[in-house]
Amino acid sequence: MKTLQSILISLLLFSVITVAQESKDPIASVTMSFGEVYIKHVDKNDWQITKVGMHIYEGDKMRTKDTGKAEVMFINGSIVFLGNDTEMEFLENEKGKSNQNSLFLFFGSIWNQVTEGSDYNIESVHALATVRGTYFNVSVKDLMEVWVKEGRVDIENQYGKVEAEENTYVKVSKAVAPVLEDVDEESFPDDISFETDIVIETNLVSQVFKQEWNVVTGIIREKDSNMLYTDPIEITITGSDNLVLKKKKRTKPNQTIMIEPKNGKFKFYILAKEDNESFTISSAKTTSQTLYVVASDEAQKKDVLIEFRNKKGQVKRIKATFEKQE
Amino acid sequence: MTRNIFLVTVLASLIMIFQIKEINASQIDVNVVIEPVASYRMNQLYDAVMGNSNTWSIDGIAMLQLTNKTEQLKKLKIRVKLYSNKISSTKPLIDYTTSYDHFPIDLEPGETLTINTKNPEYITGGTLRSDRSEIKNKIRSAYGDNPLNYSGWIPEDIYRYEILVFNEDDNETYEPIGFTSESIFIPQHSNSISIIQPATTMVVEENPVFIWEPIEVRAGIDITYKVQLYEIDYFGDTDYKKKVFDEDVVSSTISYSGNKNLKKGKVYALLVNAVDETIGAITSSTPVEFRYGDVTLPEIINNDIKALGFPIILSWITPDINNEFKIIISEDKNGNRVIFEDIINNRSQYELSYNESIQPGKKYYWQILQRESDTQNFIKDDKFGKFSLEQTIDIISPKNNEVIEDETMITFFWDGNESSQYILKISHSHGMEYFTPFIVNGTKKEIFIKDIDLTRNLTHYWTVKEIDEFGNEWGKQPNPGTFKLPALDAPKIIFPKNDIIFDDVMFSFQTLHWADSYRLDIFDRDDNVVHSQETYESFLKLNLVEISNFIPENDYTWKITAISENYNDSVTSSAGKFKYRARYTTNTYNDEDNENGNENGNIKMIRNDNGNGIDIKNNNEVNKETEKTKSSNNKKIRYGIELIKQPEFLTPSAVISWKRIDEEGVTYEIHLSNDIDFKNPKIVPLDKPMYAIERVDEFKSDLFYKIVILDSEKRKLDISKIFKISISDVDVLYEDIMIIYPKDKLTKGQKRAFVWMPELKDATLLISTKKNMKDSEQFLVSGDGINFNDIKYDFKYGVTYFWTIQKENHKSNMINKFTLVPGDITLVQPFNQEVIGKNLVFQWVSDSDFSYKLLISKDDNFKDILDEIDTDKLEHRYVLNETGRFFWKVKQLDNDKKVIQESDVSWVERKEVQGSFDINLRKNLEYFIKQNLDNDNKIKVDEWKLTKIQTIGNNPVTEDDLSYLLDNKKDLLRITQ
Repeated sequence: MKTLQSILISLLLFSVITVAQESKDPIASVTMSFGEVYIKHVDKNDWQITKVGMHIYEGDKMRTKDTGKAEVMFINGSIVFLGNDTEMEFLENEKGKSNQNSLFLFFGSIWNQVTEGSDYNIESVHALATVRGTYFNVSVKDLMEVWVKEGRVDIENQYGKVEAEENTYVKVSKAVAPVLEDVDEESFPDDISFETDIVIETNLVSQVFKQEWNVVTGIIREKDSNMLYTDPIEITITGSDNLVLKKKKRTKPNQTIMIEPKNGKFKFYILAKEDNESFTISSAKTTSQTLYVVASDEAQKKDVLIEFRNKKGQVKRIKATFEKQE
Repeated sequence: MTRNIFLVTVLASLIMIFQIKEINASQIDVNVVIEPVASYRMNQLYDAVMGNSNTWSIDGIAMLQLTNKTEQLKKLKIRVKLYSNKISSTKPLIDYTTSYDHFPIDLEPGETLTINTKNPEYITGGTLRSDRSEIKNKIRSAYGDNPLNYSGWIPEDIYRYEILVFNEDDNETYEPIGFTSESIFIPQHSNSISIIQPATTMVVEENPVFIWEPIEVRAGIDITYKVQLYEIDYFGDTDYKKKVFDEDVVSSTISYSGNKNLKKGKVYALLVNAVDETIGAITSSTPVEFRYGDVTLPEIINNDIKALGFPIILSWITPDINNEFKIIISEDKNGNRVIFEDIINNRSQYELSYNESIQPGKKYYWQILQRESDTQNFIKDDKFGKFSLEQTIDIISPKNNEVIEDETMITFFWDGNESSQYILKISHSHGMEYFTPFIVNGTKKEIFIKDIDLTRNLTHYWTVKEIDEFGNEWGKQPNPGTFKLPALDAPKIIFPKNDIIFDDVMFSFQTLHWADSYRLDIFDRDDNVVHSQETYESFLKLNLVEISNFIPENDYTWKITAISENYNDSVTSSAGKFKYRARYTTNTYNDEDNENGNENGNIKMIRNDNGNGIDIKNNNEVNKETEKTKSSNNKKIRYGIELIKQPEFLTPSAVISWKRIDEEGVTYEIHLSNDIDFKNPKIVPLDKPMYAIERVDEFKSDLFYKIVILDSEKRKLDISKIFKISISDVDVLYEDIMIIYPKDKLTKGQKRAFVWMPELKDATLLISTKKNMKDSEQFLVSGDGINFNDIKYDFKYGVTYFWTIQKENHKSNMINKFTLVPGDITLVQPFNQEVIGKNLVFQWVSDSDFSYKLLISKDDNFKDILDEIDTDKLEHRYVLNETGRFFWKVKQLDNDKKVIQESDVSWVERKEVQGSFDINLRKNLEYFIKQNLDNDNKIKVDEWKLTKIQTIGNNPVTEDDLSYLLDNKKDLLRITQ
């Protein structure tokens, strides 16, 4: 019965949030993505691949797989870095607190760079961490661990509260009070870095027409040289709602495709159905990038060049113009 | 030289013997033993300098012994300095002082203490004074970037240790209470191993013997050689994954004794490393590769092919053609980036057909591998052939200053590689200094004209260049092709062209399909703009009296400028001119000054807001209203024609004269006709207000005439009423009645009156809506005309009325009919003309306050209607997709959508662009092209039709050529989609 009640409440909440989503302002945006990173908007049922530049709203969730990591910047300048294999939710702010950022960390590890003066909370099943202007890491697995590099973080649960200063470490689980320890710099978890040795470069034609297949070519090269990266790598490309992709001319179009570059080079096809579309390229070894496509109106006329030999063997050329009939 | 080395070595050996030195006059005896040179780790100095270790200098001291020669307990610290002669004999490489707190050294009087230099407490926690970066810089400046990588020590150098002992609290700049110094010499040694055998790249012995040069090392080092053999895929392969042999040996030779026999045809790499147990790896050989077994591999014949096109023939010589071969093509000369592989049998050449991975202009490398019968492996050597496909790049179209007829887009075609990426450059100059770039895949690009900054009627230049995967341009850039956009049509003025206009005027002009809006500019005599206004219609109505800049009796010119945002362009018409004249009033029934359809300004039509129809105000009412708004200073002009001589009968030398109009430049016309309708009048221009009939015999019946007054610009100022000269004497009491006006259409600009002749008294005016005058209404009238207002009859638009005049004793056979219409409908465009494009503007001039129905028909009877369009405008933009001749007209509709009147009929013929091609041929060609397009190509579907075929180049394509192509599909060279 309790479960049923929860479901009902969730459904009600969901509908309210869905209606509200349209009118709500974003609270943050994805500024960096690496490997497999997914987002679930509060008004959607499915997880979708994160795009760089994507807006985040209250109630949205983000998840990184074991190859994924991401950087999210809040409107007030605070930044959360999601490490590998992490899931968290952007909680709704308390009413009237526009400068508040609240996260729920289900599992995984996040680094937080909090803008001074803002109200920043991280909650987990174990405890609540409250912060004002600091740089710290929170990891949640069987317990919640907090490493404070700069500033101060308050960690509390029903059994107690500690104030963690710079270079301290707190561990807490839902069954016990937080425990504070001093810690040296070397013990801190590594910063989440988006530095890569290789980069993906994509070439899109200058003009894209709606409803036409366009080739996108690209290379993977070593970051500091012009050497192509020829090791095996899998690239995932995801189109926006009205952009479909396919690997080869004769393959079936899809919203997401996976390609394996050959000799550091790759090619795929896109078809934009609307004016402003995008596609996101990600891999386990590179920073994700989202490319925006502004598609021109569908051409109503197309020219085709035909080159042939006539009876005398002379090469002749014609331009055949096709027009779309109303 | 050898002698020097020998002396140095001896000296070094002597120094290296364990030595104990005493320092004079010291409180503490210091005995130090430096470790034998041979046991120095090779990377020791390297680590120290590079910052990897803090302990190296102390580590090198094997034993340090201190003896307290005083009577007191001594609390001590030790300072160790190490100098390299070659770097600096005064500034130590390392300078380290132990910390008493961290490592207390307490010596009782007379006590001797041996310091454990390996004790971590001793070697850490002290003060390190040496500056690593300074040392590093010195070493770099002396020996290059990394002299330490190999030996760990700068070779052939003397290193000096200084051991200084201080009391725990002493300043270390004071004299030490104990001191000793010790030096060692590091000799040079081999920095690589030379493999002597195998000496060739082929080894056939069952168990090959590997031999190398022994290396020279410092005395005391025991070298072990680690011999490793790897199976690799090909010569140059650095991927050493498959180790087949790994043995340690002290001597410099070994026979292969691996578990498995070496494989015939396989390539192996031999590596030898020299290692000392104490100090680790010393040096190593470069790998030596060899193929095992007596195998004769195919040999590439032409190893640098420059092909003009596909297929590319790759050939080789083989002692045994009955074999299986594998072709591998790669982008790099090491064969790593493979783009193509294929296997063939019993051949010594390979035909490489079109492959989209092969880009013209680039170099590719190929290998031929042979199947080895024993192992079934493909064997390859380190030989690569190379080939390149000539880069084909040239401009196809447009070129030779081609005029781009298409109004929306330009398609650029060039010769090249379908799978390459190009930069298309469009420029205003031949040198292409500044250009608009477009990145394009393939050899074709369609660009909307609106997306490029082009200047009409000006030559533009374009070219292409290939770009590589990194986005860099490369290869040839062909000479630019040239093209230009045609000048846009200029708008044409319709009215006024050279007219006298009154207060209300509708400026009308011919619209253009490319224009979005129009700007009307009116100029005075000095070309100053007196009025400027924009419109989206094909006309602009102005009431000049409401615009203060207009002065009656002044001449003006006007122009219309067509503007297109889409084309980012505008074009101005030639000028029309007009004289602005304040309206004058007249009560003459024959006032027909607008009989030619120039009704503008004479009658004001106002559509009621309540929807009850149209209010019509006649001239008088309009002018009365106008007068209220016009300045009282404005002069009103009235021209009356007063006859002086008016002959009654046609007699020789009969003279017609009238009163002169006293205005500069005024001339006259007399219109003479035998019929009262003046269907084919004789028009005589006159400078003077008189006309003498010279020949009577040319007139067979009664003669009618009227006089027209013209101004200096030949504009009609006034028209007289119609007069008659009888051919013979007629009794006026029995004269036939001629009904003159109205007839056919009576527009709102024309005078609303019935006019007849002769003057009658108490005649009957009959008006009916029926031809036979049944149910006519009758009015008693006198004179030669009567205004509509003076009879009570409800005239309606669109109704045809019949009327006549009857009078006893006067013959009256004439019945006129007329229809009251708001204004004539004059068809403007397309007017009985042929067109090429499908974008048409149907335009007419009439009253803009009414709605219209445009009818387009395939026949002139309008039975086979193509389209019907209702519009409130005086034009309609239409896309005529079909070719052939079409007829069109418009119907003017009242508020109830009833037809008031119809226009005449005009035709438009949309020409086939390449009319010479048979329609079936075109259809077959369309089918043929679609068949040969990719499945993805959007024009494959039915709704895309082939509408135009155009020869590219100077070699015209004939119908025969196309028929031949359809029958001989093999002769299709390519279709660029």
